[in-house]
Amino acid sequence: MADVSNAVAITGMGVISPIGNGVEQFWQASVAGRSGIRKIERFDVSKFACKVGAQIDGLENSPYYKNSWKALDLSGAMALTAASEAMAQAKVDQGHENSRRFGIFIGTGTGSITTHEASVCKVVAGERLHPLSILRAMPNASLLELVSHCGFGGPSATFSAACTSSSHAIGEAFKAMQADRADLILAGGTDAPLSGPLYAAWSAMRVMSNWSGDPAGACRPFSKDRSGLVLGEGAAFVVLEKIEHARNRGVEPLGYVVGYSSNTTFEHSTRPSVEPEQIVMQAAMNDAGITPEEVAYIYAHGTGTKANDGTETQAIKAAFGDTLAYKLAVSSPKSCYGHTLGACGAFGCVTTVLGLRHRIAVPTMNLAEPDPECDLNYVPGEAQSLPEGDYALVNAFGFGGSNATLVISA
Amino acid sequence: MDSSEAVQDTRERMRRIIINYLDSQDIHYQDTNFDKLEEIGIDSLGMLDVIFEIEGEFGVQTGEIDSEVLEKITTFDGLVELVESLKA
Repeated sequence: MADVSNAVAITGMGVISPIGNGVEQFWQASVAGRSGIRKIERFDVSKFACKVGAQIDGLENSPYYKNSWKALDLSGAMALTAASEAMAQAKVDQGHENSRRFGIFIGTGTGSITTHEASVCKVVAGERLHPLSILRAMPNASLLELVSHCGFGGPSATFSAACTSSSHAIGEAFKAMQADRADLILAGGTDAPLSGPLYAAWSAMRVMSNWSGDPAGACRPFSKDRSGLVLGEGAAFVVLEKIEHARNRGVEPLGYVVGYSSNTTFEHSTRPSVEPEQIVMQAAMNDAGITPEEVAYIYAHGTGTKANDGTETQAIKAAFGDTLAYKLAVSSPKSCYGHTLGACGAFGCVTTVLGLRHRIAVPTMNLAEPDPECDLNYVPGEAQSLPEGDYALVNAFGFGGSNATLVISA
Repeated sequence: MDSSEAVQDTRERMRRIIINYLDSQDIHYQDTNFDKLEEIGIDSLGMLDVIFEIEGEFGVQTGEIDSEVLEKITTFDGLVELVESLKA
């Protein structure tokens, strides 16, 4: 039984993902290993080596995605939709009497960059810009809308640290509640990187998959023939709450955040390094007051790039020791829904809560022949029962050398 | 079109802009003379949107709007007056 005396409860979760909208659909698809990766038709990809992505469907009729002055771009609309699901599950009312003690922490790697791109195109074409272009395009545009939508007046912040953004949002929210700065914080992440100019920039960096077969096979974490990441869009949010606060409201926790740590690989802005990743995992476990023996599962960063997967594997071995590392279930569902950048830590948080509750490790797909350097149990091809242990780690490592690990229990 | 017809035309076109705005925001309204704009749900940010649409509709430029003008355009008649002055 997990010790949750210093923990913060998770009382609501919401997801918009390329494999399904809503937590239940997302979870079923994750367990089944269903792919949301397909050929991109939103813009011309003929000049790029990578021609696939994991797109969101079904938000066209969202009340948050309409053609009005408050019109949100996809990043904001996903955030509001996922956050609304989390709030509903947690039974948190808008305009709550204690709302000055309620906060919102969002992580996003690219923010409202698609809105900014559209503004640039208008300027180049000599067209007028809407007077609210700044409010729509600033990096914290989604936060602005969420604050307005939820009516929360406690601490709020946008974290932008590439792929670790939402891990920081959740981790810092956890810390803010431990420091009694808030009773409840809606925390998570959103990113919508599938726009033409941004995709071109990622392509230029030569870190994207060059897979030419079935799009579902394009993201191949830990596989010998992996060739890079696949971009995905999505949003995931959790309602974090002091345990006592949840209890007083009569709301049952779904899980708990029990530890968090972050550090930085200063030696290189994009090349991952074993030591800081090892340290961040160990520090997060120390923060949770647990030992490596108590960990059952790691939601790996597992991007499918040559650089990440081998380094992360070595770091896990260094943090857990050779014997324990091989007993863990380690998986990368990015193989199904791509790399959602700043939202990926929040996806990991939701996945690990559900995994611990159901005692299931979701699979890593497209792993027919593992890289010899990647020799842990990555849950290849189909879901497995979790090994012993009450805790799970969520790893996220980002450009700029940002590393973050969350420790979750259920 | 004489001047009174021109003003009436301005009022009709602006009424359409405001109704479109209110519809886009799912704001329910009953008072069809739209006398006090803020009271029917057009706040200062909403006003920026309405003015943006007005600029496009009438081909006018409002530029920076000082507080004196902003005070006047909290009413429908004040907004009509602003547009007429810009057209002139």
